[in-house]
Amino acid sequence: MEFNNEHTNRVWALMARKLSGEATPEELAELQALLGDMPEENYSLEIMQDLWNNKPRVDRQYAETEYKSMIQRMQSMGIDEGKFSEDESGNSIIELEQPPRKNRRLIFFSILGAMIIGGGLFFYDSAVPASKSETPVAKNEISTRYGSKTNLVLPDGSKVWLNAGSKITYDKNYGSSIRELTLVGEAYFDVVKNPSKPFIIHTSKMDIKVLGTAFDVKCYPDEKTTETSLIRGSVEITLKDRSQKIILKPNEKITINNDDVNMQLGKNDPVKNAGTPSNAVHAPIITLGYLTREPVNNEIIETSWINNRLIFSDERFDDIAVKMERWFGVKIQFGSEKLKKLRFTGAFENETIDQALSAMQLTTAFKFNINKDQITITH
Amino acid sequence: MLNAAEIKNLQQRLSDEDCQDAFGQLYMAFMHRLLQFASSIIKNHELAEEIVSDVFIRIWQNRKQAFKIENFKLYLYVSTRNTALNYLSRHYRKQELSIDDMSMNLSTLSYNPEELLITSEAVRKIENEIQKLPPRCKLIFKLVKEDGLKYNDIAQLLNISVKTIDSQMAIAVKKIGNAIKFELNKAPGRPC
Repeated sequence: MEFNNEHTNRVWALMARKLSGEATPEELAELQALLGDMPEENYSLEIMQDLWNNKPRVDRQYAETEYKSMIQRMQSMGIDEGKFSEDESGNSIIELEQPPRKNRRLIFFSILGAMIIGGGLFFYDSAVPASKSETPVAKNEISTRYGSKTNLVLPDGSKVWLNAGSKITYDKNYGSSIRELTLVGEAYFDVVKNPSKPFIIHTSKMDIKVLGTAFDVKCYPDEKTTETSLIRGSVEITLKDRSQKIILKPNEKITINNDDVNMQLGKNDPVKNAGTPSNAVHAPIITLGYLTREPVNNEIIETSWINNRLIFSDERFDDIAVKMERWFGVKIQFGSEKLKKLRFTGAFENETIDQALSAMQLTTAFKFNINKDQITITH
Repeated sequence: MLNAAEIKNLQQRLSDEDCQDAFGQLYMAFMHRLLQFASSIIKNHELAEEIVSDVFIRIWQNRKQAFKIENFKLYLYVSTRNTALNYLSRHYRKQELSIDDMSMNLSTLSYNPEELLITSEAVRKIENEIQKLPPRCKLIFKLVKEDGLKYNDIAQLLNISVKTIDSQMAIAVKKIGNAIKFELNKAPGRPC
């Protein structure tokens, strides 16, 4: 079949748009319709798609040489060229290959596998002091109640900020060979460097091993996820139910779903779960992402609590309530399921719970009633 | 090639950290492409190298503000363009950028036939076809396909319309498509 010039030019232009990812859904549909009459073009499009994905290789060695001469130029210009690399292992960053992307973006694994190991492993129950007194080595335990935070310095000089409703436990012989502690809740660590004595934090879902670094670990049993957020240095994460190790780099965050059962039933956050069939065998329950920043002053949200700031960014009211309960030492109840799904963005610093809830009323209509430390949210 | 979130993350780290880690990664990701782009304007390899290093040194000096840059990729290309034009005006009293004066060398365009569905002979023919594209068409094709720039970014960078990009891309894709068809029809066992 012959087409006039304008018609075929349109086909090629649409093909180019499709290949370069510029095409709108309408343009893709138009292309599909046009190609229906042109089987040969259809085949060359397939081959071109292949060509498009095949990116030319670059000369890394040349780039490295150029990089070094640029740094020399900076030195001769008297520009402070900074540290070569944050980790002092002597590894030059430009010689470090990026790990394969696939593994770093989303790690999928079988829900079935997770279910088998799940149950009971990670539920911290404050009412049962368990077999603490029977352990052979004496333990130090530091905990915070709801509504209070603390900070401490460990025997090796490492600093710990402990958020509300959290607990760390470590042996009396901490630091004699390795530095090891257990965390429930949330803490920010600034670890003193000592390569010969690794620093290991145990949580119910993952172990975090570091040499010297600053990062935040959040593993509240009543929250949906366990998180580690890295500020500087690097940490190695080992998940409790699998042997795979994951290395975090600065400004990265790993999130693990605590609640495998809800995940499987598709009950959790519908936004995050969009597009995942509720009975899927493979579902993402571990996500590697980046730290979130407050848009106004670029403050890192994950560690804002250290500076006495409670920040939430487009979160559900029931998730925020869990945080507020800990922050203010109160108990919050909802009058309806609908109220739990309201979403808020905001930051609190010195506000009382009364002021905080009043501020939230400015964006969304709801009522609240405070009776000592019991708060009820209604329509 | 880095995706948008990875670039954003490296920008953030560039502002936060005093080590060269993020800076080095951004350099390694973009230097080749910026070098080719600078060469297309200045047509001198040594000068182009100096221009790219100027661009990155400025980024390092202003790294505390780097996280604020919205379209970092486009920012790199625009900085390269402006730095190259400054060189031109200093040395040749030339200030305006005309796309017709630019010529893109696609020397690094080498496909690996093992990863493709077609023979190495066909790959060579296609590469040849791309090398033969008119200069303006080749430049736009390179920026879209190899550099992964958006049509809108290229329109801003080269001061041309998206319509021009559409028609130039149509020419390039048509030439390549016809070369593929020719190769396929020539192959034994296939109807002409």
